[in-house]
Amino acid sequence: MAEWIKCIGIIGLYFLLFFTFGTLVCGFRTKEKASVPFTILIGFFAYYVLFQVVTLPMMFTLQPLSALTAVWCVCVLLVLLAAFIRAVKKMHRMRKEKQKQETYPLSDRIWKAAQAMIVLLHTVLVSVIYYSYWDATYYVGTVSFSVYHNAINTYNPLTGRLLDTFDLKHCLATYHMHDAVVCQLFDVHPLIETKTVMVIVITILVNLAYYCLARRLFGKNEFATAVMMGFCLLVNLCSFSLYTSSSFLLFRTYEGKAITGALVTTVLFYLFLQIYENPQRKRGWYYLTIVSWGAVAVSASAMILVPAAIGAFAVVMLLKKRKWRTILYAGISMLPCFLSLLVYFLNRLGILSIHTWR
Amino acid sequence: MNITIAEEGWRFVLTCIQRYQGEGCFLILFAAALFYTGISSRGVKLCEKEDNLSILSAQKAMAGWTIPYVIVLALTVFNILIMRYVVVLLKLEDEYYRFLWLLPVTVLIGYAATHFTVRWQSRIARTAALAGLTAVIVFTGKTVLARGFTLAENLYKVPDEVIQICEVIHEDSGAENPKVITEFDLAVLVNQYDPSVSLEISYGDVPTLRDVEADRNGQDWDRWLTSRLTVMNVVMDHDFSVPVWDFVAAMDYTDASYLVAQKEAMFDAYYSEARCVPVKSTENYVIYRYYNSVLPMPDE
Repeated sequence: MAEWIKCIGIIGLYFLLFFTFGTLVCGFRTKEKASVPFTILIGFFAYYVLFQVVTLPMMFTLQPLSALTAVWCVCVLLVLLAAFIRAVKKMHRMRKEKQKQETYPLSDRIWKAAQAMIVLLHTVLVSVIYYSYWDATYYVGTVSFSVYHNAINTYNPLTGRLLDTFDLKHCLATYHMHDAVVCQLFDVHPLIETKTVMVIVITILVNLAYYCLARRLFGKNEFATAVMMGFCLLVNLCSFSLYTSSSFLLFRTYEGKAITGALVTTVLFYLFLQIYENPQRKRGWYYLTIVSWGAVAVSASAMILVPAAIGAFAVVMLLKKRKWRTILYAGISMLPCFLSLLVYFLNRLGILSIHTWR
Repeated sequence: MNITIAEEGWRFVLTCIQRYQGEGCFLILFAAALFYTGISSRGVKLCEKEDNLSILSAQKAMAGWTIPYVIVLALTVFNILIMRYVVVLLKLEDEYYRFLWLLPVTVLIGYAATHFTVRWQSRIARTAALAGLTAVIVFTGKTVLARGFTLAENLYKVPDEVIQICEVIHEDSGAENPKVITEFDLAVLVNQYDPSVSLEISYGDVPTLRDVEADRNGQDWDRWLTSRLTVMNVVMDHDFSVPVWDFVAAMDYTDASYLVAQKEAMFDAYYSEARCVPVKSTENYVIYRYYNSVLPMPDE
């Protein structure tokens, strides 16, 4: 029971941090107000972007995990402080402007409750399912060995032995090192962090992405939003084959590629809709760049999949909207993926390798 | 997916799509949803509170980008003329199926089904549409229950036995990093729960040892490899035709102090002869303490 309470606390903290990061990113040089679910989603990607920026230099200079944990705590506290100052200023401004309170009729409240039940059902399902998949040896093992040896990605999780050189394909995606930091900080077991806490967090985020899409497509019709979220859950539960993103979301949520398949793609589709609808607005491309970078920080699979998706969408924009600037914006948003790809290829060709010892 | 362009040739992409779809019909539903999205982009009156124009614009945009986006994907990443070179160059044969994640299957089926449901004004028609579409998705699909999952026994999401085994070994040995040999299914799980257990044949060693076994051709290999190969043949592959003294010599070389094997009378007879003494049993496994041939057995 105590472990469950700790898990719920950590999950709450994750969402608070994602929201905080999101408010800073969404409020950057704009007075437009983003919805809370969208702010959380963008915050998730921004959070992992910053974590990657902090982790990579520390990893390649062979710092211990405890040093990363300490530095990351300072970074998070600074971001929280910045968000707090911004919120105080905003509150001061809001006091001057009269706020219109929104009220919801009973039927809307019922459908809102139905939306929450759909998310809860999905979350309960992923939290109680157990399926042993060999890949967990790698992904969970990375976290376990990093915490045990107080090291950053220097041990081979498949053998438990020290690596000679960094596995540059996987270690650029620092998502699992974040799990290790959380395990060290809160004294939580890597299996609980990866297979329960993050599984719940990702499932809720995926549902928030469905919610955002439904709200954009059906306005404030709460019934339609609930129905769309329900259908998305149903499709996820009924489209089983070993390879679908739905299966990854349900059984292998602890892997970065499950996040790419289910969360990153859904957020990309939402942003594609926004950009297509309003091609003059550069904001969509700005968010797309953050999602693209965040995706690379989460999973190595994203370095090929995300440029493929953005590339295909850019062609659509060029053909249908005749916006030549699309090439520039798409290029910028794909840059983090291309940089990761470059490092990966240089490593594979034997040109670049980094030793795990001095 | 274990399919290669060399084997499949021009059919590579098609075979990937067929395997991806499995026994369900969700890609057919996706095609239907795409078609429906295209023809229904005129929008419906949905909400009196919101500006309907905004919804109409979003629904038109949905049809506007999804259809050409899927066509562009079909002409590029799902085009075998291009992919047969790209996939080989990037060595993406095993991961190629992930490109299918770029199709907005879940959201588009969800959107089209919702659009079709809410367009009806009468409550009966809406309920009928909702029930009908639910039935279509459920009955044409293959549910995740087909995967045959079990309920998690604990918050760690590993079998309770794994936790028990690690605890017993630590308690009995008192060492920080006890050296252990386990069955393959345990080698997959043990270090996820307890990285302090030193697996002498880890999950990552198994493919290397199998490659060595395949290329052996009677040559004398490194002692590290041959000893582990012998132990792997007995403990993981259950090849009890290996002479006991060969197994003991190999175990001595691995320096392992514990062996965890399935609870079977035949296995027990072999291991008892091979200087293994049971420490404790769990529901499916027996934890043995291995006595190196230079050490006296407890009854000696």
